[in-house]
Amino acid sequence: MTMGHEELITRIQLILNQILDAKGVPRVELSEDVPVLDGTLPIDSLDLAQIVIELQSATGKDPFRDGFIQFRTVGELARLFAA
Amino acid sequence: MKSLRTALEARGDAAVVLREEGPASGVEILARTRRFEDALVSHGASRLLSLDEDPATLLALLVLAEQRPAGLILGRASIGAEQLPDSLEPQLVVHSPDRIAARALSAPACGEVSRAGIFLLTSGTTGPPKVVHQTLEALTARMQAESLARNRGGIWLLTYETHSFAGLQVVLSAALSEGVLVVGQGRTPAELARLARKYGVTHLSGTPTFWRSLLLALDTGGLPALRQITLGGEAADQATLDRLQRTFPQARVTHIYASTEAGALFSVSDGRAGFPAAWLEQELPGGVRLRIRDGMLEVQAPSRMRGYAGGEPAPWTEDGWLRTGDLVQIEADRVLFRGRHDQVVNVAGLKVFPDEVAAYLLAHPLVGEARVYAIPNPLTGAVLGAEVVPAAGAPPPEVLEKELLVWCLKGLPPHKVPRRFQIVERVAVSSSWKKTGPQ
Repeated sequence: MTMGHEELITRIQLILNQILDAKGVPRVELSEDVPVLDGTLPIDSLDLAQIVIELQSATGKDPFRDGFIQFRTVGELARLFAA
Repeated sequence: MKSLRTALEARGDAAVVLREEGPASGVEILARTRRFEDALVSHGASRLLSLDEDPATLLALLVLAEQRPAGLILGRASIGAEQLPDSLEPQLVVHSPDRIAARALSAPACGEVSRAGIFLLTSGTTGPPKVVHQTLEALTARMQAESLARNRGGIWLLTYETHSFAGLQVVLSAALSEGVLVVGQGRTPAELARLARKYGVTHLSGTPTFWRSLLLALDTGGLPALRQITLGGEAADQATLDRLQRTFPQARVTHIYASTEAGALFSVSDGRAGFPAAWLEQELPGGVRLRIRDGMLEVQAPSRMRGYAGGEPAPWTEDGWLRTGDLVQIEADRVLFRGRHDQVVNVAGLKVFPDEVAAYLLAHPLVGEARVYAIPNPLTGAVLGAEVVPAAGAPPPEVLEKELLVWCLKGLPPHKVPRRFQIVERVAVSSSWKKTGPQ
């Protein structure tokens, strides 16, 4: 399923909230420029992996099929899964 | 040790095997033995492949192996005759008691297979099937007078393939304790539960995966009156042991540790998973000794196989111990099974055993079955995923998924937490009732 950029950001927000709820951690507001793994967000690489896996099954895309691609912010992550 | 022939003679005209097509008595089985013996003698043969998985035929052939040196190769429909190594070179093939075919040999028999013994196929978890050379003495080594007396007159239900190691154990136990063996066509838990009720089955042996399926199927239709519950083939987890004892309070619940290669090594009936750590320091009944090397359980047992037929190297250590492939750890007074050595998953640089996480999930009251596997990903190498069959009373899938994620985050370190849950009706199960599917 193809998703637009905004839709992907919303989806990432949704998945993140589910993870934070399950951990019993307060939700955070995401935006385009928030770095994913520098400590700004209360998540670790395993949580990020969970977000990536859910984006893969939601979009049917696997941007890392041919190897890892660097991404730093929520926006960059979303663009990897965009149409 | 009582002979199989004596036990079958004691049954006389009474049923030993109950099948859809009718019972087979002790007398009938011994008549089959004579037929097979005549065929061997008239062909001057000593090696025989049986493709007839009727337990009555198996028992007849085992009596034959008991009374004369013969090589008995047990084929399995689930493995396929075309996968048998050429080196086995059977001279006769038993399709049924009425259809015994002679086979011309291209070359004289040589090596391992020319010897007498029982040759069992093991599908293993990976690779082509192996042929394990066992002996009847080793296969019955743990069937001591005491346990035969306790189980005397039991009604057993066969859940395993007849020609698997575990199947042989059940068939031999039932016959030697002068019991009755019930065999059904279907292998679904619901069908087996129906047979168990219909025939008043008292003795039932299966893998933990089988037992969980049975518990899920028993929600309708009432309980069979089981006296002996046996788990084998996979590590028994505490939650499954507890559920069985709660469901069948009058039954003795035993989990056994055995493999086609090692034979039956020990059984545990104290209701707890794993086995007492004190057993590492002492010799167990049957001359079994246990030790842990590099986290793996190693065993020494007189009942171990002679070797693999077909030249495959046997998994012995230099000092003669068998490496089981089972990784264990000592917790207080107990040795607990963590998982198979070839099923370790690396998550963010840390080792995880999917079975250990499955056992944790099974401890949740709304989980009837769980299968845990690895999902590769570029950030952490892999994370775990879990398929879960809900138990009775479970909420809708999306609610249960959330609940289970919270349950795992609460009780497991982050790298062991499954990052994807799928609520399913059943998990993939092999023909030997073990959980299968991609790792």
